[in-house]
Amino acid sequence: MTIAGLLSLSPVRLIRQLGLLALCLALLLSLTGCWNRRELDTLGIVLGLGIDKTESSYRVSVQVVDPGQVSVSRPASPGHSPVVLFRSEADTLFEALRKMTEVSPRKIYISHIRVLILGEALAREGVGKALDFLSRDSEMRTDFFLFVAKHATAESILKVFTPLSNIPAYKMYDALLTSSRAWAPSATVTLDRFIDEIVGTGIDPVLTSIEVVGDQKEGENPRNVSRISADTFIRTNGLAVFRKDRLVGYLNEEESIGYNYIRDRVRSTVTSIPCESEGRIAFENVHSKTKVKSKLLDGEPVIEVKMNSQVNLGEVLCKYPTSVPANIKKLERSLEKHRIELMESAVKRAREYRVDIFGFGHVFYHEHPGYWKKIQKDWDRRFQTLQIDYKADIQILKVGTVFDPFYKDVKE
Amino acid sequence: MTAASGTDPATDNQPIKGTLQDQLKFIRTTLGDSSDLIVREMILSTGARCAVAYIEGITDSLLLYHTVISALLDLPNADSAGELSKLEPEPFVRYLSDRVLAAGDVRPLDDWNTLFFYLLSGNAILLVDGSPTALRIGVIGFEERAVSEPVSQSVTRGSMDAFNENIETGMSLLRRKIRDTRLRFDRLQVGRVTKTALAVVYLKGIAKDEIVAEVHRRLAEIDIDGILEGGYVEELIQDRTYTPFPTVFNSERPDTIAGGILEGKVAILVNGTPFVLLVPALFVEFFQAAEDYSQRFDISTLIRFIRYLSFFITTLAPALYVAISTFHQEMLPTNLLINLAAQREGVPFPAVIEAMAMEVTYEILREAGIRMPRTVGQAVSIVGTLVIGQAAVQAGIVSAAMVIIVSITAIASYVIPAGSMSMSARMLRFLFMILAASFGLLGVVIGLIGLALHLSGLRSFGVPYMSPLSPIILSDQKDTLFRAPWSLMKLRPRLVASDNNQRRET
Repeated sequence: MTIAGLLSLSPVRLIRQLGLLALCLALLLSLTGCWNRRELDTLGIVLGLGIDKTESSYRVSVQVVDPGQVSVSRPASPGHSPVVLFRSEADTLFEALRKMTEVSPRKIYISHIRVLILGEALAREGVGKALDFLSRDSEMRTDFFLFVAKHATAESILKVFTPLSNIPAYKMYDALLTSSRAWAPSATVTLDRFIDEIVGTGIDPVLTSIEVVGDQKEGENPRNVSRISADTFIRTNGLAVFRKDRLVGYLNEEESIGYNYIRDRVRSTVTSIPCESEGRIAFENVHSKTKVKSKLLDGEPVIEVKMNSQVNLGEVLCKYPTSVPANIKKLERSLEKHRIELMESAVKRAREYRVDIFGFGHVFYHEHPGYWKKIQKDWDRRFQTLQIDYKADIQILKVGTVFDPFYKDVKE
Repeated sequence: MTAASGTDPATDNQPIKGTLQDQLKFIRTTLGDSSDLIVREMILSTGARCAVAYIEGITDSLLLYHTVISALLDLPNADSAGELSKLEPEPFVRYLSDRVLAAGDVRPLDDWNTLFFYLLSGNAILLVDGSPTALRIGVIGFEERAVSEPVSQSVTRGSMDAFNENIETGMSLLRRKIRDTRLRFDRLQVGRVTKTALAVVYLKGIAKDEIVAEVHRRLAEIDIDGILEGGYVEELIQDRTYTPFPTVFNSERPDTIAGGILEGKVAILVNGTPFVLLVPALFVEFFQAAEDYSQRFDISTLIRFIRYLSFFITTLAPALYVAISTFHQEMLPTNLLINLAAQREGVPFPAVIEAMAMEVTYEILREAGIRMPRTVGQAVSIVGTLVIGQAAVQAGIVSAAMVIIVSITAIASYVIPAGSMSMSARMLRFLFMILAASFGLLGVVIGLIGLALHLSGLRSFGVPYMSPLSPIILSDQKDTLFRAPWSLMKLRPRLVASDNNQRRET
């Protein structure tokens, strides 16, 4: 109803209409979901959140950015860290975060966390309960990555100064994103995916593990980043394997890449295989597609892993004549063998931990629901002896700007 | 031309009578012996006494001399004028009108009301002793502004003439563009005291008869002492007074007005202003510039989208900034959030106060820029940009992001070709800022819904304001959001033009 409309009404109707309008506006107040006005300068923007477990309670540490220190217009005052770490302990995460206002002048605002780090102790005990708060909160963005602090507490990871990026949480986020795109032994797991895999049928989750390399004390000092070569740094290191929400072990780099090949999560990576003689040949993976299918052979479960991949030849460290088409074919075959070995190594390790992180059970659940119903309880045992047929089909697309290695004909 | 509408209390619509001296005395006393009233009394060679009355300054005295005074004084002298001198005064007046006066526009009149109206419009009045009929001679001539470039609606390509304050010049500009027998100019006067001349212009058979009749009806209903500008008329004839949106289009460009007339619209020229009104007005028209039709259609289409985008920016940008930065921080990318938070470090006001203050400051600067003498323009712009923009940010009173928002808002408001629409956007901006500050994006969305409802309910001379978008008329989409090539635009707008809506033979 517009002002004009109101003015044209008779007084009685006008009052009634105004009353209705007021009622509607009052009702609006009850419709307000996230409903608190807060100015940007009253927020302590958390970029990294760490959760550890003490004997009886949760220890939460948050890396809060100090906007004044990262401002473009005003230079940061030297000696001040761009981020501040607050920690508190309480029985629940929610309490712990609110309790932080005892030390923090600003309200802890966790919608924008980039990384969530789970301490190893907590992870071994089970992280499920600790994640309830984060999955329940309506103001969370869900685009942050989860890490497991390998042999460390989450707090110690969040305390280390990092070179190149002055906000450590950013550094971890960016490093994981880049390495998963270009190197592949890591997994960009968001909260949604992690919970999906915890509760999913016939699948167990993995997270990327992160660790402090070097002296912890040195890393907590700003001097650490004032040198060209930082003594202490944070790095991702393979995958951490979970049984449901409990950490059971780690995969090394190769196994992690193998895992990512099976899960079809490889964007690009570099692998090398040995030459016929001494030396190695390296390939860049430009595209790979893996299909996992299940079938029943005489009642026995069989998984088929079919990989199709295109690679470029990147580096040759032996006198192997790469200009000969037949040789390229040979290389393709041995690369295929290598890929299968990678995947097998991942499966072998997973069998040691007795967890099906590849979701083979999930494939049966989808494709043979009747069968899955029967053997569901027995899957862990069957996973150990499951027949897995690997097939790899790899094409070498380009050999680069030279045919044979230029030192092939050099007389020594 | 119709007779004067309002009755002057001094003359009271009395017929002209009495002797010449009585008549002249009446004229003089009615005008209070005004010093610009010139009465030239003559005794013609036939012996008849007559007088020419005119107002100095609005009458072309040279033309008057050649066409009237010298013609009268050169009448054949008494001996050969034997026949003439025997004529009664009234036939003699007709003889003068038919045979003597060398002016183009000579007409008889016989009541005081009409006489004064024409006298005060710049006509010369010829009174002959003993005759109850006077003659008015159209020798109007006064200083006027030349036809010059449009000031408020400039183009880089297109005709560069604009209307001026003279209604006859305006009519001539339109006549020069549309040389068709169906072009109609209906003259009338409005305003009890000012008796302002108006002209209703349309193409007979192409404009809807009902709309033309409605324009006439609404103009006839106007009862006001003075019309000094088209805005008076616009406000008095629009469909609904309480709306922030203009429902009457105005332009000082003859090509825009002629384009509208060709679509079947009705133009209203008002004497004394270069701005010509055009009805019915549709919302989308305010985003169309004359240049759209002189440029290639694809470029025009792109530019139209920029205009619509600018309308949203100028209405919503500060509101969205306030809403997102105080209610929905999780919507921002993290880097941007930290950047904005860094800028807001130490700013003493809440974002909404900051936004309000900057917007009001800009409106003050803008208003000052329009009113101030040109000579101090530079000083004011230095104060405006340096003091308010740079110094305020450096002093930490406002954040740099807010200055950017206010600047883009200000610039975007000038992209809308029609000034009246950008005024509406400016006004709505504050409403949206209040909504955003109290309810966040929820408030903005509710405001937008209310706005859509209001717009859909508006009408301009019976035509839905949002047409052809709501109600949607597919055939009219060719010149709405897009501008189709002329080869495809075969029909005139459906709701505006009459049934005769073929633009060309197909």
